[in-house]
Amino acid sequence: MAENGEIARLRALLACSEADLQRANAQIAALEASELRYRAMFDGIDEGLCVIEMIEDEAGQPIDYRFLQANAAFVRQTGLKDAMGRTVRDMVPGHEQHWFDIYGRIARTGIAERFEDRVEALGRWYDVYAMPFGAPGDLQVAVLFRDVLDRKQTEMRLVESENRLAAIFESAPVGIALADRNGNMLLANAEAQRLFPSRRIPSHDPEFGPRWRAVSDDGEPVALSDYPAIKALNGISTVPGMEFTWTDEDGAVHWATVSSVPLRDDGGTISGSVIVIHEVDELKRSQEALRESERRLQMLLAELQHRVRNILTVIRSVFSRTVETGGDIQSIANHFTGRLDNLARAQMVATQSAHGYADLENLIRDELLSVGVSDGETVTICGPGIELNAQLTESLGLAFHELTTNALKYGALRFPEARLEIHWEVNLDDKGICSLDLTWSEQGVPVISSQPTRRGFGCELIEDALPYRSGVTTSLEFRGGGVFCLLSAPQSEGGAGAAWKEL
Amino acid sequence: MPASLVGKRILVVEDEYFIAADLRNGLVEQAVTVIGPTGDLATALEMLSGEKPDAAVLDINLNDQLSWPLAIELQRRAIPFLFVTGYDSWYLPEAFRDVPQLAKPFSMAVLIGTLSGLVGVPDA
Repeated sequence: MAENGEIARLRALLACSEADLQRANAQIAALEASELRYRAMFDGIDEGLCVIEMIEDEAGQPIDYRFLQANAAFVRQTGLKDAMGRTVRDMVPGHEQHWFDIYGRIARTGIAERFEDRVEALGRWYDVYAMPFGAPGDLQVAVLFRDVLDRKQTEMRLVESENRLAAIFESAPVGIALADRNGNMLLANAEAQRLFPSRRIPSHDPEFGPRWRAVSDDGEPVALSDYPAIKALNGISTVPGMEFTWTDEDGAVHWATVSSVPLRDDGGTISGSVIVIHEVDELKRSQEALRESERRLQMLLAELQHRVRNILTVIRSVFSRTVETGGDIQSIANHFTGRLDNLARAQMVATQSAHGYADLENLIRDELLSVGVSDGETVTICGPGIELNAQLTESLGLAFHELTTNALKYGALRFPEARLEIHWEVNLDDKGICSLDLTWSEQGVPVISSQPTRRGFGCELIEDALPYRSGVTTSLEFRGGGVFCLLSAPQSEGGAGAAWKEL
Repeated sequence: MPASLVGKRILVVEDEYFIAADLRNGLVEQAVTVIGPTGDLATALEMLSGEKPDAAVLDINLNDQLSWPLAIELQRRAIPFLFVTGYDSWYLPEAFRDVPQLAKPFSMAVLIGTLSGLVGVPDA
C-alpha cells in the first residue's frame, strides 16, 4: 500500500503540477495577451514614444543617447528608421547639446520634464514629455513627443504679424489709443502718448482735458456728450473726426481731428473706445494762408475796381472840361489825348515801382520829352532827388503837362530866345513842416496879346485841383516874360504814407 | 415826381477834385446849397457837426481812409445819404447794405434823381 500511497502522492503532485502548469500557462497567455495589447497601444498612439539610455563621458556629462525602444509613430514623428540600438549622434550628427543636457538631467534627478524645443537637423519642433524609466542607475528615459512644427510656424507667423502691426501702430503719424469706459488708455502709440501725456483721454481728464476744445462748424461750444470718445461709448462712431484745438505746454495752439469708434468685447458689449487723433496744423495753416491770400486778392480786386472806376470818372470829367474850353475838334482831340497820355504815364510809373513812388525829375523829363524837349541851354531842370507818391505823381504830372502844353503854345518852349527853369528844393515852413517847393519859371517870352481870355483847364487844375486833391499850395501868374508857377507840397502823412520822400 | 432839390443843403464828400467839382456844379445847377465839397474825412465830420444837411453824397475811399465813420454819424442823425463809389456792393458793411449806391462813373441825372428820392421821403 505504501507503493499505492506513493503513487497516489505522486499523482496528486502531478495533478498539482499540471494545475500549476495550466495556471502558469494561463498566466503566460494572459501576459502575452496583455503584452500584445500594450504593444498595440504603444504602436497605436499618435505621439512618438521611445526609451533611451543616456551615454555619459568620463566626467559624467551626457554626450549621447541610445534608442532602446521606439513605437511605430516614432518614425513618423522623427523620420528616423531602424533607430533601435543606435545612438542619436550616429543618426542625427548635428543634434543640439541641450537635448543631452535635458535628458541627462531627467535620468539623474528622476524628475520628469515637459518642454518644447527645436531639432535643427530634422527641421522639426517637438512638444516633449520625458520621464525617468527603469531603475535609477539605468539612466533610461522614456520620451513622449509630438512634432509641432506647423503650430510653431503658425505661432511665429502670428508673432511676426503682431510685431509688424505693432511697428505700424507705433510709427503711425496719427495718435491711436484704446481706452476703457473710464477714459483710461489701455493701449496708446507714441503719438497718442505725446498728445495725451496723462494717458487719459481729454473727455475724462480733469488735468489735461481742458486744454482740448472741440470746434464746431458754427463756432458754438460743443457739449462733452458730443465728444467722439463719449459718443463711441454710446455706440456712435465719429468718422471722419471732429476738429479740436489743443494748447501745448508753451501755450501754442494746435489743430487736430479726433475720430472714435466703439471698442467691443467678445460678447459685443461696448467696453471702451478706439480713438484716432490726427494733428492738422500744417493743413490748417495752409488753409488759413489760402483764405488770407484769397481775402487779399479780393481786397486787391476791390482796390483795382475802385481805382479804375475813379480814373474813368476823372477822365470823363477831364474830357468834359476839355470840350468846354472850346476850339475845333482837332485841337480838342489833341488836348484830350495829351491829358490822357499824361494820366496813363502817371498811372504807369506809380504801378511800375514796387512801392508806388515815382521820381520827380523823371516825371518832368518824361513830360518834356513827350513833346520833344530836353534840358540844355534854354531849359534847366534842377533839384534834389525826390520821390512822389502815386497821388502826387498823378496831380503834379497833370500840372506839368498843362504847363508844358501852355509853354509850347504861348510860352518859353515856343520862342527860341526864351528860357525855362524848373527848380525845386525842400524847405521847412514856420510850423516845422517840410515842404517841397517847386518853381516853373519862364523868362524872355515876348508879351503877346493872346493871354488866356477865359480860365482854362490848366488853371483850374493848378489853382483848384492840386490844393483840393493833394493839399498843394499853388500860385500861377502870367507875368511879362512868361508863366511863373509855384507849387508847394507839404510832406503830409496820408493813408498811404508820405506824399513825397527825399532820396 | 421826385421831390425837388431846390434850396436843399447837401453835403458832398469826394476826394477826387474833378468828380467833386462835377458834383458841386451839377448840384448847384439844381439850386442846391452845397456843403463842401471836401475830400478829407476829418473836415467832413467837422462840417457835419455844425450843420444839419438835408442829405449827403459820400465817396467811400477818401485818400485811402474809408468813410464809414461819416456814414455811421449820418445814420445816427437820420440824414439820408448815398454812396458814389468804385467798389462793388459786397464791399459795404452790413449796416450800409440798404444805402443807395451809385457806381462810378455815375450819371449826374441818376444822382439827382436818387437824391430827390432821399430828401422827398417824409420823416415817419
